[in-house]
Amino acid sequence: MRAVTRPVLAMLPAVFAVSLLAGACSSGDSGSKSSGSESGTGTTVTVVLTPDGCEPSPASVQAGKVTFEVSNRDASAVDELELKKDGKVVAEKENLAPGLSGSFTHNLEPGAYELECPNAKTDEATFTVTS
Amino acid sequence: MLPTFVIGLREGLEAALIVGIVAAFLGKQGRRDALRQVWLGVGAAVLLCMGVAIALRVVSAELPQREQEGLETVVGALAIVMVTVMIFWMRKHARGMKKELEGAAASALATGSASALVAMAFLAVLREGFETAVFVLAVVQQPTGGSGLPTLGVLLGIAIAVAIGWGIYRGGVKLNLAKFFKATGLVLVVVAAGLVMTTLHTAHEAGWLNAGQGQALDLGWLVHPGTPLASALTGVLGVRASVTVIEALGWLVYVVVVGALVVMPPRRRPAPVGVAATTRSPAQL
Repeated sequence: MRAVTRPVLAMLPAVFAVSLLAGACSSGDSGSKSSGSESGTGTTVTVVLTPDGCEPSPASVQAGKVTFEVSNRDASAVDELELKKDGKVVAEKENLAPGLSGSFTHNLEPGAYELECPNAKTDEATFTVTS
Repeated sequence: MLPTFVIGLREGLEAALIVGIVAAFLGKQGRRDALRQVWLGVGAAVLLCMGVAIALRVVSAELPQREQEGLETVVGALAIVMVTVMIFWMRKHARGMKKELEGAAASALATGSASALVAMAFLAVLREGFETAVFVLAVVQQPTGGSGLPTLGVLLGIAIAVAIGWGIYRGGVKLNLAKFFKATGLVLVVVAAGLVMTTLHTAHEAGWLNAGQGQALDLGWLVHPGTPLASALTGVLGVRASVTVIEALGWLVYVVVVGALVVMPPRRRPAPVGVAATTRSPAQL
């Protein structure tokens, strides 16, 4: 029994280390992407999730660091917002239950983007980044 | 209360399902030692996730969503491999059940496999844990809250998911061997196919996969977003209101290929009828 248990035990720290790394990596990344308080250096776009959709305000900004302040007012079926460009997910915020808010910041190149909020009546809104 | 309940249930189920399957499998093997490691691993993963969530909260940083989706994709892929190997392992051993499974140590899973299963359970919790812990904290500290109902909702959702995972474990262990192998073979194929869909979905959200993102199926009539049923369908079977072409394709290919291999009669001679339903010695349970 012991002989069987030992390798299992020996393996756990390794797995643990990997996951810690993953965790550290995650928090490190979020540092550079952290949002809200330091939005002075970029533009802030407000998006309110409603059962009808997710219109950004403003719908057009200049290229650079853009922070999306997303809040879910009363859309019980909608719980995420994705920023996409040519169908590719650029950034997103998940698990936004009604009443919750969150944000994500991304360096945006000029171009046409879409904001997608699955399960809303109109689940896509256009968003433009100008040079 | 319902919206937070639904999210808690969905995220919880995605983790509890895999842990439940792993635990049932190890329990069935009489691997109490490995089972203990599973519980320890799950506990460690929960603590780790809560720690990271609290740290993120303290420095008021958001969870890096892209990396999170990447983690979900990698662990999802590992889980698909694990469940597939499990399916074939059981198919192979179901036939030789008498000599291989009832004979105590001879039947035992190789140590490496048991360790892999333990690691799998740990990773399965990490996969959903970071996100869920961040969500729970956000709900608890919700400025507009006050009523405490959203908090109750999310905790209840997670509690029910854990209960279902525990049910899978206990149910799996209680089934007799013949039934266990028969029932789990095809069920696991469908569960793994669901994992294929979920993993293709998270791969897209991680920005890794952009092919076949058109809608193939509108399951809005079945999966009403924001309801407990939708959570259960997404959490257990990977089914969403809108299924993309690549997700539908991945599901179909998996179900057809692996399903056919499971249904196909194996080349080994079948075990004699009547011995299949025998119980195990108490020492093994």
